[in-house]
Amino acid sequence: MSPQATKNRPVPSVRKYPKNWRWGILFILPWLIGFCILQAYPLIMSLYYSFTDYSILSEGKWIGLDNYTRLLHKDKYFMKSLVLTFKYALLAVPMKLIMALIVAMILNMKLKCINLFRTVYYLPSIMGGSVAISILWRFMFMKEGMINKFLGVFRVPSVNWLGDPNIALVTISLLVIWQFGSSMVLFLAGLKNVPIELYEAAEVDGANKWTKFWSITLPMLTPIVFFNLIMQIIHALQEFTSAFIITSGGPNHGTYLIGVKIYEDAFQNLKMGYASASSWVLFVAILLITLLVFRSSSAWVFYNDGGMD
Amino acid sequence: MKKQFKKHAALFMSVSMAAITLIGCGSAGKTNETGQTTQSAAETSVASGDGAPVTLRFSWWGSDNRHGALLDAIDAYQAKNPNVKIEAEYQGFDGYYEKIMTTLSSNTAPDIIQLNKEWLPDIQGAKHYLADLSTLPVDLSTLKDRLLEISGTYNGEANLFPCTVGGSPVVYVNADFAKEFGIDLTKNYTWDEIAELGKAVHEKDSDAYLMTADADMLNRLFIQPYLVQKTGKPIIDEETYAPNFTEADATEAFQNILNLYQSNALEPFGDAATFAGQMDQNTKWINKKIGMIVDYTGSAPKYLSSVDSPLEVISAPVMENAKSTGVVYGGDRGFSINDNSAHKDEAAEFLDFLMNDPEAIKIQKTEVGYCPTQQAEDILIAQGSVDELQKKAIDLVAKDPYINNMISGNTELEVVRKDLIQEVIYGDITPEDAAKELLEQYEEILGQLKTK
Amino acid sequence: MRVKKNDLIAYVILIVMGVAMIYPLIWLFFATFKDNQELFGKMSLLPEKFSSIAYKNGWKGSGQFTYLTFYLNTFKLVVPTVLLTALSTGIVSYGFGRFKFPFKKTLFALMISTLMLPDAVIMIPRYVVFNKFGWIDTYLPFWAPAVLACYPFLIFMQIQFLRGIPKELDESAYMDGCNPFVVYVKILAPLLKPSVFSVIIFQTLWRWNDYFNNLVYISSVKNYTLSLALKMSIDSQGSSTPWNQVLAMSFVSLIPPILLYFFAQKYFVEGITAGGIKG
Repeated sequence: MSPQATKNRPVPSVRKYPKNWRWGILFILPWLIGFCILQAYPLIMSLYYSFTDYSILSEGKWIGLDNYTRLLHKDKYFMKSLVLTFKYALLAVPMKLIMALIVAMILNMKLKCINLFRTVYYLPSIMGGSVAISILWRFMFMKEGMINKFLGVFRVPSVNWLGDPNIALVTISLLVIWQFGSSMVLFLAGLKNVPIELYEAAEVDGANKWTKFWSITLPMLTPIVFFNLIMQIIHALQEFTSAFIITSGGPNHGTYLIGVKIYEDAFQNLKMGYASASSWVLFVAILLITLLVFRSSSAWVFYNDGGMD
Repeated sequence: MKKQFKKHAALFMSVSMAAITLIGCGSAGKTNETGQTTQSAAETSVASGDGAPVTLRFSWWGSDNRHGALLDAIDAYQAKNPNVKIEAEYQGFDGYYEKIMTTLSSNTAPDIIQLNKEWLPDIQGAKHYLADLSTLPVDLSTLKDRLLEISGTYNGEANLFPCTVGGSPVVYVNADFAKEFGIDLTKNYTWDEIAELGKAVHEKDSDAYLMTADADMLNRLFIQPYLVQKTGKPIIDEETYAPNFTEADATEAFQNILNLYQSNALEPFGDAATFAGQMDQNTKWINKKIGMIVDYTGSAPKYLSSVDSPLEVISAPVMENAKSTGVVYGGDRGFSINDNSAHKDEAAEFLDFLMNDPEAIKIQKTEVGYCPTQQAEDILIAQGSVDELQKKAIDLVAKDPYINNMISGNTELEVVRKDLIQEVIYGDITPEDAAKELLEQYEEILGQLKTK
Repeated sequence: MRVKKNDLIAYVILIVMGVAMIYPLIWLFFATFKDNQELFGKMSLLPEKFSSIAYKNGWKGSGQFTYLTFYLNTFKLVVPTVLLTALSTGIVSYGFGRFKFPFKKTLFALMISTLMLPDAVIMIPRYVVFNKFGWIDTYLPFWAPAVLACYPFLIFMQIQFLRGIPKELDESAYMDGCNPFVVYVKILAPLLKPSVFSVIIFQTLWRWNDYFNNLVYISSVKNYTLSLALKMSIDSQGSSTPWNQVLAMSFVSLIPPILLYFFAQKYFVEGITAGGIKG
């Protein structure tokens, strides 16, 4: 009765689905057209820009690998912000997912007013990256702000949340963790996808709550965990909004995430070609990490469909 | 092992396939691109001529007051010129620059565009995007002394009609704070005196600081003026593209900042950084625990409405034996006409109305800017629409400014300064090393700029 | 009795955490009644006095258009976009999740990889494309990607949910002679309700809050959406901003997504009912 039977491995499952691949192409056709018309050109162009000194306002000259060599050898902030971005991702992604999963588990219980609670926990995410957030975060985390006052009650000395370059990164991450709503929604939806029969069968076998969680809920949820993980990683490595609206990358480059750097290079320093080069380095980094996670997935993600081709 | 290899191969295949597909689609997109240049800004409108209907697009950024003022001015113009329809495209400041750059580069920019003076080299240096106003029916002679030359001209061509006049730095002082700490407001302070005064203030009340500043302010309103005071020249020479200051000068400028922090004249940088770009929202400033903010004359309204104490304005600190005040004077903002506009003449006529017509001036008051023309000043003072504090601030900067050049305001150079200031403040490097690095980086950047 | 105790613990956790999560928002809400000096100068939660003036003045906008216009515009932009996205991404995810076709892995990788470049460098060339189509200052740059399923996040997400459903279920229907499209509509779509509603909720919220694309593609104020309107009066350069109005309108603008979420929840709760699937 374990879902492990449906593990995603090249299982020789019976394939009765239409051999005719035209159906598949037909169904993905909207995206394929969309990709070719709307997405391919921008992608190609950004790659092309990365070999030029394009500045938005003037057509770029071809300068070969100059942007890339400059990035890796001369720019003292590029590697720094790349490392910072990884730190940020390591901080924010696990925290956000764990938080979202725990809350989703609780919110999945049959309790009174549960709709209200679900909404309350989702509200911070609805705020998004609006101007209100930048005011709010300052109010909470400035030196005499709410958080320090609260900590003061427990005699914790006040922390320089936004003024200390090393701590500011944590402060930024907290915003993203606070807005765990979208991951939570997915977990909730995933939890609802777990067939009740599995639990019933386990109960017959005398399983307790903990075993049920480890042997049924979590394995059945792995496709969603996997999805959330991939997406949060991709997203975190490009994070821009929080660092931009709260600290604008400061102080002393403490929150100078690569996304902020790329934006500043592109639009404030008028070096779109250079920003494109940074973006493609970032692209490769994200791609490699994503592939790593994808490859690891066969070991821990369990699908019910007997494997996608 | 074999499986591993297979996976690698599959990965490689998929990446290269991706590339091929990309290129395939991309070239299809590219062929489209060529036929695009014909599109013009005022495409929607009918060909112009006398009395023929014309639609002009006019974009600006601002607050609700400015939006209201310009919308009223547009209405007044349309009432007089029924054949002209003006479409207003207004927004807040954030994102405006990005939007204008995007539209300029794609030839979809509006006909009349509000611009910051600092953007002129970016825009006009890249391509001839903006029309030469001197060839169009707009009267430029009304502008105050040298304003056009200082703030509206790029490469000898009049590209921007300044809509405001002002300068920096000036010091806004909370009068209640000054009274409480016994600060003399008739005096012209030196940097050292400011440091001493700040020390005294902080000793009297450990919660209070004399001043506050973010990285941007330190760069533009402390370091740059300091260097100019030291040398009496703009920081970069326009002819040779060489810095006008020495390593020792730069060391001194950085050290000056450190002194202000060490004497507690400046609120600790980390605390102030919380309010970067929004010093008027600094809790300490609002609660009279900070008494002075160095800023532009144009910021007067912002600071006035931020506190309930009366405000004063005094001259910025100078060094002893300064060769210059380090004060710049000019117009930070203005209006330009899109060189690709199909209706440049009509756009210029409207601009002329906006800036030179007494009725339009009366409507706009100082919402769009502070009196760039003598006529505006006369009308608005008579009308009582000029704010005392702002007028005083402008009189201060108009007194003895130095003439800055375009290259000294280059963004890249500013970014380097801003980065180094923070490293000095956080103790990552000494002022000496910072000065050395500053000059090294300037040499490289200026070298590149020169070859362009 | 045990169950009750567990519920009680759950309630305590939910309430304590919930208060901590939402306190900042309550503060923001009360901030709509404070003027700038009170807002930035004082730490108190409650305002000195309550008045709806910020809401009244905020609603008026710049005077040329009220927030009613911006509200209607946002609906005009968001509703078709969301509905079209739900349809198109659902179908595409079905194609990826259930069918075999050449270069499938490549295409899938390509789709995911479009998420990996920062928007900042894609924006200008994308603008060039839309400009070529003459779509600037219309909502087509939002509707067209929705029709063409240019939302890899949502496609991938639905693939993951689809893969949680055993193949036998839809295969048997196919064997019974239904064509694949009918199988999707009749059998899979109802089972995928939680994921379809996730798509609707996410897409609504993103489009509702999206600022940068709106900024670039919409030029006339008459076409402005709420996210543009909210920043319309913030001139960080010199003049002071009536923050209470900005915050008030932020709250007013968030009501539809909140309501949508609140009412869409029951579709998560339903989930897959017993008898539907055998694990």
